[in-house]
Amino acid sequence: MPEVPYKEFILRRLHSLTGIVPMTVFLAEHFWTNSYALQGAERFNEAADHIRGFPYIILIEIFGLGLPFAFHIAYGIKIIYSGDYTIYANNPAKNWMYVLQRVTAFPILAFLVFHVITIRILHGIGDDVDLHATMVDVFANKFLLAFYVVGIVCTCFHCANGIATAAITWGLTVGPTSQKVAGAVAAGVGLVLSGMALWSIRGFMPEAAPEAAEAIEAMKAAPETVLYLIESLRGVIA
Amino acid sequence: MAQKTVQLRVKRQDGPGARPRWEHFEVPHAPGKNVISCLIDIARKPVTLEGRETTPVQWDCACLEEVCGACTMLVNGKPQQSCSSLVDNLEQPIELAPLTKFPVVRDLVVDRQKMFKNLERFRAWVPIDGTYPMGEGPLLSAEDQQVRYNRSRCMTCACCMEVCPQINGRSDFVGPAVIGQVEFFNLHPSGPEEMGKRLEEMMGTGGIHECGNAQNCVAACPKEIDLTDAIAEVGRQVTIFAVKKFLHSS
Repeated sequence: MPEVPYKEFILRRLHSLTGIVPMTVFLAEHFWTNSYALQGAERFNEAADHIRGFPYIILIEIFGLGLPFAFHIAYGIKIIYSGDYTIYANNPAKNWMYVLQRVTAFPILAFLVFHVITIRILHGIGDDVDLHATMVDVFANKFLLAFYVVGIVCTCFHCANGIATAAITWGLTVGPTSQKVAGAVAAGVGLVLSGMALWSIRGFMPEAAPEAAEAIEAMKAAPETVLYLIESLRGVIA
Repeated sequence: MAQKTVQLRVKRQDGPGARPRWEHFEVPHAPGKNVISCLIDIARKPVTLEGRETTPVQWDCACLEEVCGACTMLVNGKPQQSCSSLVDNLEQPIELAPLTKFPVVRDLVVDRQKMFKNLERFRAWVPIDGTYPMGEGPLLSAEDQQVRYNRSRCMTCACCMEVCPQINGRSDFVGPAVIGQVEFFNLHPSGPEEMGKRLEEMMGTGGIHECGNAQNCVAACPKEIDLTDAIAEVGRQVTIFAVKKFLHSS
């Protein structure tokens, strides 16, 4: 293979770019769609079906989300490996941000893999599944609920801090004032995103969807659904 | 009344690659005493606190007024100039150790050649070696003078490199100081002549992309150089340069 000039530079800037463009935009869309759950199961399932019905959806998922995510993760591991993690006493706040940006990557990766495999890949196989009811069942498990909350908060922090530092990396915020303003705006974006995601979980609580119980039971009995799979696994473990 | 003294713990190393060890010293206190004068006392009478004779501690220094950067070492774990480190401001025993991001020559002396080589690599100079006199250059605006004055204070002491989490055995980052100098020389009226070469080099091995934005450099700089701003400015210059270069490439 011929040596690509400025390979590390290009990869590092691509890492920054893939964090901002597909990921932040996708998060905003995802959490917005989740929030339909606050208007009821039907509205949420409609919204989810609408997105699933996008033209070229499989191409968007593979080339617009999957590959950029995979690259961001792979190159991110290299970046994490190249850093030092002692906190410098003169600069605790910014130094902690640097460390947390790298530390949060691990819960995010664990959550992302779990979430995508269970909800998108396994769940997506069956066509007549009730996504809302599935999520009600997921959140009924307190451990999974906590896992989701941690995953969401870490993702939103990683995203917000990433926006602020990318602005410096690309040379957008050159002076201290603009860096502070960008930091505040990024924090706002992070708070709005996590607020939207966490608030929308209310729409998946069993109290909010008493009719979900029936759908859950039906899915647990239907072999093509992920709930059936999880239920069978539970059976195996027990 | 017992005489007031200063206690020091010094990390000793007999030569490159030798095994480091700690030695404990006690020297007389004096008003306004700095770390360097403690080391001079030790050199006069190289005996440890336990009464064992040893070799004089080696260290580097030149200006003794915090403008040359040569005497930078870890004082109680913090990188700073030992000439301007006053004993009365320090907790005792004062711990002295060599900088960790450069090879140790002996005791507190490190080889900072890597940093000077990088200044060369990034053409941190004003090109005046023409074949004919170029005359007086254009004047700098007052605003640019302010920025350049701040960046000009760099004394290559390497405090910024010491605290940078991206400079270690797993990454060959050139470090904040050199990036500050790239901005400094790019901002000179002659800057555009060499700017392309400097920025192209910045996209190479260990270039600006290795910065991880921990911003420890700007907090550690004894000369209060706005290193984060310098990195952002050179980051912008590199962004524009890279896009233009790609669009023009054959």
